[in-house]
Amino acid sequence: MTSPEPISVAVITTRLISIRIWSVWALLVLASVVSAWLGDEHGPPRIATTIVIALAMGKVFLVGEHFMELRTAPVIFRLIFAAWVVVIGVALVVLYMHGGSPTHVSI
Amino acid sequence: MIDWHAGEALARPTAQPARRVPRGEVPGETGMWVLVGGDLVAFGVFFLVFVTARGRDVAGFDAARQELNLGVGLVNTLILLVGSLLVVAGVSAARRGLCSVAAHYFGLTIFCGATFVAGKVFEYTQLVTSGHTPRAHDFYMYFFMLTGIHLFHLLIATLLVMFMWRPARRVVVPTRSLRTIVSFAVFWHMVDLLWLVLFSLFYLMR
Repeated sequence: MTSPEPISVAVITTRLISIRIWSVWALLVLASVVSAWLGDEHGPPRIATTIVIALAMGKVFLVGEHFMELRTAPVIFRLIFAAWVVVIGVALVVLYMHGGSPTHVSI
Repeated sequence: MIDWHAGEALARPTAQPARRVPRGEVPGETGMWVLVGGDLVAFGVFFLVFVTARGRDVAGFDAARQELNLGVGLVNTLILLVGSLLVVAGVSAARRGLCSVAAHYFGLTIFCGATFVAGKVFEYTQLVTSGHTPRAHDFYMYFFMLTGIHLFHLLIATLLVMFMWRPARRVVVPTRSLRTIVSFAVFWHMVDLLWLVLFSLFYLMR
């Protein structure tokens, strides 16, 4: 038997993780960086925060569906999880809008 | 070091394909999902309580938020996402019977968990030493309480990955171990998922 050719960790990882998972992960990282930028005093506060909440709940949904493997789980599991994401997401936006953002910040 | 032989096996066209995840089957143990469901409901309530409290003192909460270290928060978010990717890779390796490879990924995930804890300790110390204690303002009270409960969950998740690491080091992963590995992976991902919301609420809501 010839000695096995060394395979780098990167190659093994590439073969173990599907393109779907890589894409989801890249989206999660991108959404996190964009959220952080918006949270770092960029853009109108109300719009920025609404986008941040929407992105957060979108990320939560992706983690559930793809990492927690809910996409292959019974429909009832997926429905309950999706309902949680939507209910919490909408409630957070409504409660945030009710409170709003400060017109000026005093430290 | 990575098991090169296992890597070679993966490179061969005859490499054992990943066991297909059957549709309509609960990932891991149902009991774990009961726990996850309970945690999601509890944290869901915590999120709403926090935003309601913020609505009563928007200026105060926003001023307090600006004292947080956004950089540490973002790095911690990315660390958990890397950890989640490593867990997915580890589970995928375990499904293919590449146990030593899986063990490496779980080992790296434990490192991610430890780094997150170190980041939190650094952040807590920075806040407390500059007078931003839970008693100083309600924002900090919620921050320490919710991120503290989350940190406790993260410690449990890291401990579970340590248990995954052990069976994965065996030559053959028995089906029962595989089910346990998937259940523990689900818990890790839930901890990651909860942090994604906490990060947005505490560091980014303005």
